[in-house]
Amino acid sequence: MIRKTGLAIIAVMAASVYEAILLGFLYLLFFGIALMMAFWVDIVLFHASQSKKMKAVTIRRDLKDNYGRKNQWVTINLSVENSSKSRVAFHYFDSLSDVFRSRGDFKGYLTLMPGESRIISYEIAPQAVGKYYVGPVEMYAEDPFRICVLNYVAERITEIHVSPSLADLHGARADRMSNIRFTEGLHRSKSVGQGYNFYGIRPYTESDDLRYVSWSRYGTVNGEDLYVKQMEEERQMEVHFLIDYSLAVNYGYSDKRMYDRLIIDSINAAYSIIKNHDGVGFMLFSSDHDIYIKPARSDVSINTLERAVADIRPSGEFDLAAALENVRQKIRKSSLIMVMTPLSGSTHFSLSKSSLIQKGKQITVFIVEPSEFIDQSGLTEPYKKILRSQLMRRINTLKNDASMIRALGLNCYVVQESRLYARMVMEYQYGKIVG
Amino acid sequence: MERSRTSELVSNIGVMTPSILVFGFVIPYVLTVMTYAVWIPLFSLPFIRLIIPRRFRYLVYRIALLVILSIYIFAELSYTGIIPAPFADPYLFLQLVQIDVIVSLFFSMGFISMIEGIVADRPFGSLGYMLGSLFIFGEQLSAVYLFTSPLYPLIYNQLLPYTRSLPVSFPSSAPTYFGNAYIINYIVQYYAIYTLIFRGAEGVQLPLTVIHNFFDYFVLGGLVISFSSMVWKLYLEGESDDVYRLPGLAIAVIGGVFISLFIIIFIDLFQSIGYQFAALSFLLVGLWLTAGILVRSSSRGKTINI
Repeated sequence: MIRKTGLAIIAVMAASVYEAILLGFLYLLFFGIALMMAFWVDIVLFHASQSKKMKAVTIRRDLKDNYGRKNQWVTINLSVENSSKSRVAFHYFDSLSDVFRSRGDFKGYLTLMPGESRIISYEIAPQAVGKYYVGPVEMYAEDPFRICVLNYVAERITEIHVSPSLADLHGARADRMSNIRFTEGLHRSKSVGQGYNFYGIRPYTESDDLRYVSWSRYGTVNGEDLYVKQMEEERQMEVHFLIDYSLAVNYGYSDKRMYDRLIIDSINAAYSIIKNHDGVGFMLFSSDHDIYIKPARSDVSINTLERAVADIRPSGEFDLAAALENVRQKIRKSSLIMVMTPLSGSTHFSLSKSSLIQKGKQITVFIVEPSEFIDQSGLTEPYKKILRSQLMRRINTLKNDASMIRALGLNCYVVQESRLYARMVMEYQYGKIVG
Repeated sequence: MERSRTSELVSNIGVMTPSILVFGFVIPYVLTVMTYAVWIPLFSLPFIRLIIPRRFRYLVYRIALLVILSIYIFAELSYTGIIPAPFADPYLFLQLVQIDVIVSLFFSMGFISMIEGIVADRPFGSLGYMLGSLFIFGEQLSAVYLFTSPLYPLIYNQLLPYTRSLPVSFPSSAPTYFGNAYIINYIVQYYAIYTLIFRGAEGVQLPLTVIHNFFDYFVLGGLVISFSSMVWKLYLEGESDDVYRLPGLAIAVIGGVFISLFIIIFIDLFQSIGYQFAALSFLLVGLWLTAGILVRSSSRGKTINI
């Protein structure tokens, strides 16, 4: 391919020939033709020789493991071999998604002698969960005059599956260990039944089991009165996190991407919940994804989620009505359901009565506002002001949407992502209390 | 190879050598006819551009062009009476079509191209500026060759009636006035192109072709230096660790020079038997065809999977 510069230079050289003819300037005529012919020889020779040479280059990519965690450095080795009988020189770069941080020679310039092979090592660290591709390896060669370029693509594509990082979950682990925030007093339950905690006593009736008679209180009033002990029943809840996994959550920059943060916040909240011996389940929902992870009272469901998000990326569209209908069909038991969505896909709501009124289910919709996912670092003050006003308008729209959803009978809040975890745990606490 | 600003400047000066030499040669003649009010502000433009903040640089030539065009429009309107006094100054209009002003404008454009070529960032930028400035200076060079030729008084007397029929004002009709030589040069060029197209060969030999001057050697040397500097500059632009690019450059340059020799011999052969137009047509059509084939053969975005 001749570059724009090359095209310009061909035009300029042709113009110089015209100019020389017009002036009768023979030296300039010779100069113009000589330079143009030099470019011509260069382009023809380059096209004729370079294709043959480049086709003899073989490339292989090796990496230890296709599965990794977010922010974990993965070493990639590119083996490049020149099996032709002549020297070959080219620029190369391994195509990487913008979620990868990189260090080392993922791009550069290589000169390989006949038969020479070389291993190029570099490292990448993904900054978000999901499935990403490394490759293809793109190479391009330039002619000596640098007026044309030939592109070569080695279709070597490697999948990398990324789970949430341990560093992101560290906060939740510390939370579980400290037992100070959020988990304090979560066992308040007014239901009476079978359990280990003493609740009170009441007079004995004929239907009561004699095992629960409080013999120490026997005859305290009139010598014949009998009482039974009441025990607090441990009621276990099931909490479901329904995460919008449409293209709308594929939003943000570098290590601040909405889908990644929603997954992390859900997992952190889930760890807090399973500490109380309550079950946690997950749903990743969009028009392209319908993943349901059944609730469990251990970290089984969390581990399943980590594996699930490593194999997919947000895609499709999200519709709240369809999501609630999916909840109605898949979750039969009473449950606390927390829906997380930026609500950028749906512009109108057509929620049916059956999806709104779901017996035994307490549904809360968290609308995540976009302000924390916009990189404002490179913006000057006027642009920041414009951005702020646009964001305010967007947040007001979202608040109106939230009011409308509340009017339909669901809990709904507009939240910043940084407060989402706390809001989810608070909602869980409230759910435990009101049961 | 690491590109420094100094090496870039040196190679740019190398590329611009023909323009600089021709500029130095013609300026004593051209200064005799130039209008100070025109060339002094225009000559200062590239220097103004260099000293003002970078974000305003692109405005300099645009503003200059707007000012020149507005002066011209005001002068036209004044002359035709559309704008009343105090703008009705016919002298202003006359001055614009005066040969002095025309020479000053063109020469200033050549000078601006020359300075821009010296400070150009891109390798092909300086080549473009060199050819642009050489086109303007070439006109002046041609006029100087004609002016200094022993045959000039004869040509002058023959072509004087034609110059008087042109809508251009002359401050002097003396043969010693350089402006007259400039216009006569234009007439000769026009006649040559006219006869080349309609009669198959140039009816008159152009001053730069037929008149020989000691300065020819300087022009030739300048073009050789320019050619070499261009190649050197392109080598500097390339990858530092690839010394093997040099043979490729050498093959292209030597091949190009040999092919152009054949082309010049071909043109000369046809010219000698009176088919100059045919030869030049072959050349020009051939050049464009070559360019077209090259562009088509490497379509945009074409990638090869290996």
